[in-house]
Amino acid sequence: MPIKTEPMTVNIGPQHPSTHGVFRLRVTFDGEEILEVEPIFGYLHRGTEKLAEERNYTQIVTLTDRLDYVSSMINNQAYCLAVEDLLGVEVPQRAKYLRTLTAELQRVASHLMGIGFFLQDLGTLGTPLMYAFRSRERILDLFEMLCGARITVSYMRPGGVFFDAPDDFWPALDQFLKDFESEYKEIEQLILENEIVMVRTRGVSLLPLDLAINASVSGPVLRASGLDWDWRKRDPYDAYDRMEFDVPVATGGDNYDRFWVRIQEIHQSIRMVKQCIQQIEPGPIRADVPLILRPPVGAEAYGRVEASKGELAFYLVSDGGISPYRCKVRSPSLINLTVTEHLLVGWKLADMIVTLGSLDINMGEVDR
Amino acid sequence: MSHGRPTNQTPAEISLTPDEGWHCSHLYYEFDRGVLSSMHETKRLDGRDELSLPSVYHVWRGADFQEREIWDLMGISFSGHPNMKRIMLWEGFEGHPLRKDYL
Repeated sequence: MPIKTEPMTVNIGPQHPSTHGVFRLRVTFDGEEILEVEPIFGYLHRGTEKLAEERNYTQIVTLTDRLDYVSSMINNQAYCLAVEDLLGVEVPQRAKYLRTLTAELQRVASHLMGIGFFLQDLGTLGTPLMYAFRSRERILDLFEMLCGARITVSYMRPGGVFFDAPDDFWPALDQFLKDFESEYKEIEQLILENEIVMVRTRGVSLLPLDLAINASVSGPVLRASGLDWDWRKRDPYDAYDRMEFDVPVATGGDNYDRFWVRIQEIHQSIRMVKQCIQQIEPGPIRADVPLILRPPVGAEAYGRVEASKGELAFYLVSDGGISPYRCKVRSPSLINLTVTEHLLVGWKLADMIVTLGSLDINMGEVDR
Repeated sequence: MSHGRPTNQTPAEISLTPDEGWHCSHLYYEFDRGVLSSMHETKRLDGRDELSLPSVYHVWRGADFQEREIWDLMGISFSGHPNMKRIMLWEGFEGHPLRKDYL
């Protein structure tokens, strides 16, 4: 005799350790199976876009740190590219390399966190997360040498970067790269071919390519569905046109592929960091820009980068004043969340947490 | 894409007062065999209340949260959107904060 069950609605979050911040999912279950999903957010809404209209162009850099707070450098970069577009400023070569270098280190740090928390969501009780954090910590130490801050770096400025790297930065970076090689091999051995990880994530929560494109999904989530799409290749900014790297693409679009793409991207980022060290030359680190920036009246710019979560863009409109008339943030995490419903419906409760981990969202960026 | 492209708009047009209306920019991405082509369309809305545009939800799913965000913060609703409600702020919040006359 089949056992009858009643559908039950449960709130997962907003205070739930596996929702990566203050994120709520209203889920209707039939037993363990998911029938309906509604993502609810806004708990971390600070009105960044409105605040930006009240601050001058240099001050907004500090606001961008607090969007995706695990990849602040890349947020800085996207914003600075937009402002430089507005002003028509040419960035010096050394600054371009320093930006590329720090952005790639930040991508490694962000992906390490993504991988660590993904495995944490699978139920690994902290071991891989601590392995990932061990390396991430070293990157944050490097950032501290550069600008005195670890998370809210504000290292980049319109026209270049704020400080040149101190002399002891380069040996420390070399030492990190040397250690990271073996540290990362250790992480990979631990997780990449792990049978439990494979069984739990292969073929789960499939994202077909046509839906991924239709829903404007970007970043590792899109590349895991089979599209070779990376702004660093398609529209190179800063020093990416001089970097040699591959774009890892998977075809399955399942949880494992999203996880796998991030693991492979760390290799490519380290490759680029090494190229930056080889190619960087002494020179000025910031273009000659005034203290108070006043872009021309009616100018508009769209600064776009490939952030660790996907396409991050700042759309700025100037009315000739010292602060932008409008500052729109195209945040990848928010738009990647569009597919949550499709990914979750029909799967089990335990898969839900893992799928959320595989999307690697950041609530600072979703809510803004 | 619009890289630092100055528009032909005069200062008066850019700093619209709420009585005159709103400039509404649509920026879409289209993928054509892996090559990006973009479409930029500007429409002018008159008045302050009950502003509405047709939704593109059924063409691009990615517009889902973004249209809700525009409704929440700018106060422009999208007809045809299946779930047109506030997204960042709570239901019952008064006003649309990103409007220039809000604060």
